[in-house]
Amino acid sequence: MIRDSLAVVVVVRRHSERLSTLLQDLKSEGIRAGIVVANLSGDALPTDGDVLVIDGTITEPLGRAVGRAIESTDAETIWILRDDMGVRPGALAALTSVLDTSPSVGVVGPKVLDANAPAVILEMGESMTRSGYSVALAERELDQAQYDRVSDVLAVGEAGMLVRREVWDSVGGFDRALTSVDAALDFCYRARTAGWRVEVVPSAHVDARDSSWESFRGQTPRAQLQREISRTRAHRLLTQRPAFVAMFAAVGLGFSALVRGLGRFVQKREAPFAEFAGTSAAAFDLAALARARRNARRSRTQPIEGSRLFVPSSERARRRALERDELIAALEAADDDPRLSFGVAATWWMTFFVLAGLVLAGPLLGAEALAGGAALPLPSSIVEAWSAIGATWSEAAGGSTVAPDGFVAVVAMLASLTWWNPNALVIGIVALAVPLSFVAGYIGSGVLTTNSRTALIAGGAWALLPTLHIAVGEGRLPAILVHILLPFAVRALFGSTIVSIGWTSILIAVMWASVPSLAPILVLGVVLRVVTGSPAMVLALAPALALEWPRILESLSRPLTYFADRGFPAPSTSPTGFGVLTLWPSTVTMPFVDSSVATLIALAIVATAVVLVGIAVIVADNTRVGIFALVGGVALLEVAALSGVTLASANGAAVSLFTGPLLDVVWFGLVVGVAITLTSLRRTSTVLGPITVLTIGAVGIVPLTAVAMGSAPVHATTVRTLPAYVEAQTAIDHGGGTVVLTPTNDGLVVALERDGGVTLLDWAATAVTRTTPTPTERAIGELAANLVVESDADVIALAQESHVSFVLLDATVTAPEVSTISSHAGLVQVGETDRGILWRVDSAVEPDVTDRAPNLVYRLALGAVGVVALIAAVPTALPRRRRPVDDVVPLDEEVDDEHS
Amino acid sequence: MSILSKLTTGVVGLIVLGVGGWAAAAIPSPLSTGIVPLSESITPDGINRHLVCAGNAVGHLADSADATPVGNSSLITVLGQHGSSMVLAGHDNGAVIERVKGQKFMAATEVDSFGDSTMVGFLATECGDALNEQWVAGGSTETGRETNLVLSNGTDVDARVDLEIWGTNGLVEAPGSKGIVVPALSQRVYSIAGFAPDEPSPAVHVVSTGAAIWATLQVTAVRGLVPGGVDRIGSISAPAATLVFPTVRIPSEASIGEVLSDPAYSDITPAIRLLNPNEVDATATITLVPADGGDPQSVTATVSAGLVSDIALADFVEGDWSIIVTADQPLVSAIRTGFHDPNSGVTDIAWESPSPIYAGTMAIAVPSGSTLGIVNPRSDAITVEVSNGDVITAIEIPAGGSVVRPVDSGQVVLKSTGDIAASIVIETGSGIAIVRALSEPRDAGNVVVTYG
Repeated sequence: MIRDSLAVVVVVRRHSERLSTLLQDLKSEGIRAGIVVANLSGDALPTDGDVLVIDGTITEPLGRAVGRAIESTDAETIWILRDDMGVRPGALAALTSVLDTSPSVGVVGPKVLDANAPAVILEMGESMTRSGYSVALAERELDQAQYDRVSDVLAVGEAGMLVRREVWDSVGGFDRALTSVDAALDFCYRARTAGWRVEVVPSAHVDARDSSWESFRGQTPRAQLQREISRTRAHRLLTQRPAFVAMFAAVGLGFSALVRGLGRFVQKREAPFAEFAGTSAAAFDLAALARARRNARRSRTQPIEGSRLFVPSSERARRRALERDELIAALEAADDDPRLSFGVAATWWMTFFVLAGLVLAGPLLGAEALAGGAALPLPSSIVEAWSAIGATWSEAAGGSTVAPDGFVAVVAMLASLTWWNPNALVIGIVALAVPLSFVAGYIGSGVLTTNSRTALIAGGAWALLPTLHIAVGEGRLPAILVHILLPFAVRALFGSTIVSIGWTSILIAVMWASVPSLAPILVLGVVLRVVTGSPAMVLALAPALALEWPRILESLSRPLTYFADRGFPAPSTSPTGFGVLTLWPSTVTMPFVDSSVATLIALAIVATAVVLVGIAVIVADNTRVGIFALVGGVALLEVAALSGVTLASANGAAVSLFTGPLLDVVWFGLVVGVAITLTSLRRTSTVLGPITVLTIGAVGIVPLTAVAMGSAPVHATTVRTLPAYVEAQTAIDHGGGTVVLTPTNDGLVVALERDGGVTLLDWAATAVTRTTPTPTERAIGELAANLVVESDADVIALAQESHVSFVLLDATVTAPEVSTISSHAGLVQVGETDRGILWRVDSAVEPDVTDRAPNLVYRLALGAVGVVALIAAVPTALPRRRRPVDDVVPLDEEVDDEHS
Repeated sequence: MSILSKLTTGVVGLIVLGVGGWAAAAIPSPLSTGIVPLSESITPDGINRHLVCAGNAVGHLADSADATPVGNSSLITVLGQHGSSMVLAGHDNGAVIERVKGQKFMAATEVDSFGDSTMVGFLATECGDALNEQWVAGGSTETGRETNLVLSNGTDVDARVDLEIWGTNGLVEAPGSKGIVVPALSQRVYSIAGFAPDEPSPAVHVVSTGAAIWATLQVTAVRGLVPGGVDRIGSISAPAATLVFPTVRIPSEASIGEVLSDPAYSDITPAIRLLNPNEVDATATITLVPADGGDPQSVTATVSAGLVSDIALADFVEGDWSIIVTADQPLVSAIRTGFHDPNSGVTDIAWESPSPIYAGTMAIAVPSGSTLGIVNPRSDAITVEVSNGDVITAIEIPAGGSVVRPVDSGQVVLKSTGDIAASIVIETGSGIAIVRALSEPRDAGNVVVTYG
């Protein structure tokens, strides 16, 4: 009988105080002899004399301790117990009866119940999928006899395992490389391949407190367990597969672990690369693998029969789905803050604004590119656009060395969204400015309110503000970007997760690089958030600094020029004096009324808004309205400091700040405050809301319809800014220059353009804030001055010095300059083009092909910071699947503003 | 959050908003960056210049239909050298004066006087720079008045010319006024009556593609069988909102009084012609400044869009006046003054276009003793250096004022650092004429280059 030749090995590691209880249990089971205690705890044990004690270290694996413990006996059966276990009456009898009656069974295991919750199964049998993942057959489930019909299993756990001595010896015990996790699984697997059967005996009950890992290592971080699980899986797989397959399997395992690790990293889960670390550790531990493979090969006699022993991977997927559902439910239960949701009404309004935006931008929709005002075409190929990132040479201002410009980098990167045609980006932004602004205003108001009606009013007003439409009419891409992105940035700024920080950093970077005068406001916002409890938000400034550091360093000697608007500087007529308080970026115009009356109307609207904001301070459910008013005041102080100051010059015009973006900061607080106040009057808010939005639209009707009526400076144009002849010639001979002459009242404006013309990406901030002409410009100026008079100068030599192949006169055919330019020998008139009259230099001009290398440090730093910011911004929050609703169904009048 | 914390932040926020608003509205920014639009004044090397002289007056010999040169005009130049002459109806006529390298200024004047049975009067005109686009107003095509447009092409490239004739009723539909070819080094003469018959106030817009030409209007008057009045008018390059006539001599009551009652002599009285080529009505303020000080007198007139109107300047004291016209739209203008010698019965008229307003060096070739008038249209006084022969004087001209000085024949050179306009009025026994001081063509002396 088994009982006669039984060795009970008790492995004591962390719970040495429980040993006596366990020995008591064993005595009541009728076991008196053959108990060997492997004392790995290092403590002295209170034992009886007839118990053999073997010492060991606490880090000794259980299998090794058992192997050493049975060296001294010749028992035919081994029962493995741990110090955290308890044995219930009848357990041993049940186990031995199976071994007695079935000679083919080599290993049996009991049903292990939780010692703290005796009706819960801790573990009962183990199996694995074909791809090597270990799956416990029963895992922390209530014992309702659902597994009492199970007998044959792939493996049993080490706790309470009863194994024949000959099986142990022939298979070689537990694998030395597997210290706890899956050690028993691997042992039973090898026993199966040696022809033995493994059974679990549900009628044998034992208690345990820990899992094999916990008993081996104690409480550890989850990451270590993950690492160990993947290590043992890789080890087992690489042991079980044939040699040739194992090599590919190793690479496949490593690669998939890396990919899953990256996925976890992007999703901001903890310890993303623990799996990869474990897999690599197993794959590179070649000595252990060799030993294990040798061992397995020695004992293998047959493949495991019975595919029913393996768990299909669908089962594993099902279990993982159940885990995920539990996680989602826990998150949803914890997250009960009311949030502003983008509901049906908002979607309808957004659709309306999409249509309205398309109608208002009608004349521009089919354009190849936009020009006029501050708009210029972008290069027609995305590669050309990307090469402008970090470029240290700009073709504007006749060609000069510039610091890499952040706005150029931003536009080039945004143009990747429409990589087939970069100009489609600009046209798309202009066409979608209105609906995007609506969505922005809606989402941004979520900072101050959770009421969707408030958000609708705020979004509608934000989409119709004159600051946006004046910017669209004048083709000011930076100001349009700021208007769209500002509310999103505000909303992201008030978040506290890594995703919020990522989004904030990206949005702040785009806004800062487009409108540097916003930088103080952005820094103020970040500082306020850092001070009020979100210190990690300071990282949000990193991408902005990565974009702007060359320009910041360059402008240290003339700090004010840093605040010049980016892109092509176009003059703006900012109101002065009390006209500034209308919060319009240019003088107020309204149909049918005089401009002074229009200014008064706009002032009245602003005054009403301020009064309503004052009320909103009290009515709102948080203190942020006051903070927004404060930030708006700071923006107005900056307007006071910078308005009227010449910050840049281009085409002979002095350009000062376009105050639109700074006024947007003020407008945002006003708009949301007004919306809050209006919706607090519940009965009338359904009427007052649309009326307010329509009023703002009506007051700004002139800039709103400027593009549609054709009275805006921005217009559709072709992609090139020089005549097609020049573009065709310079496509063959790169670097050919064209001198563009524009006669004015008292002189002429001279510009030099290379290849197909100057694009928006050539206008770097350094070039527009220069105070002295570049040497190239001086040479071109002399050439131009000698061209427009009948002078004796050798204009051809001057042209060759500056690598100029074409002369373009932007005037009508009857201008006096035409005959004077034609009078110079060596210039051949090509003819009248859509850009003016074109002459060609009739001698060989060497093209200017000096290669200007971009700033690689800038590109690398920007790329690194950008990738980090993008990864941080990938959303990880599990989507809300149901909104928490109150138990009470609200009636119409009783709608709770918190949750409507 | 409590009401108190909301109120506190709210009040603080609104106070900062108010302070910001007040600062933005009331306090001008004290900061400056020193960035100005980049422009430089560049002197081109060795500029050429060509002055085109229209040559002899044109008339019809022996009742022929073609216009040929008549008379024998003399050409006086200040520096420069004679280039080629042009051809009109097979005759050599006119001249092109070229600048000699290194010479800083140049001028030329042609004079002729007539006293035969077909033409009576005194004609003196400056030679001007060829232009691709020019405007000239003057003359009339009513009975007894002949106005001929002379197009002089002094280049070696053909010119293709389009004409626009404007009148009291607006733009005149004139078939044949487009596509006129003026061959190289030749002249073409067109009677305005052929385009706009019976037009009391014609004005012409000449547009030339290809070569630049010099257009002049020649005006002759015959009253009944008595000829009395010849003049030639040089053109201006573009309509302007400020037009200056430095020498307008209002004839004395004693000289013209006896013929004023005769309606045929109505065109002896001084008048100013204004063309508004725009699409919006223009309001013009005509300020008459007595030469050498005195109170200016102003007349305001409205010129309808697209029309020419003549405004009589009858009620002014005799003497030399300067006229400054300021309008809210760019206009084309010319003034007319008359001459009558009650002893010899010689009647003459003088038309002239406004003198160019220019800062720099200008010259006039003076054929005989005349009166130089200089106008300062600026808002502050200016000192002009006038050299007449060997005599150099510095004359101070008050803001908005004018000065007249007698000058001897020869050259008159004016050097000024600010905008002025100048002309001379020559009155001899055979008539009266006005010669303008012309500026260097655009961009020649100093080109102001702005970097874009």
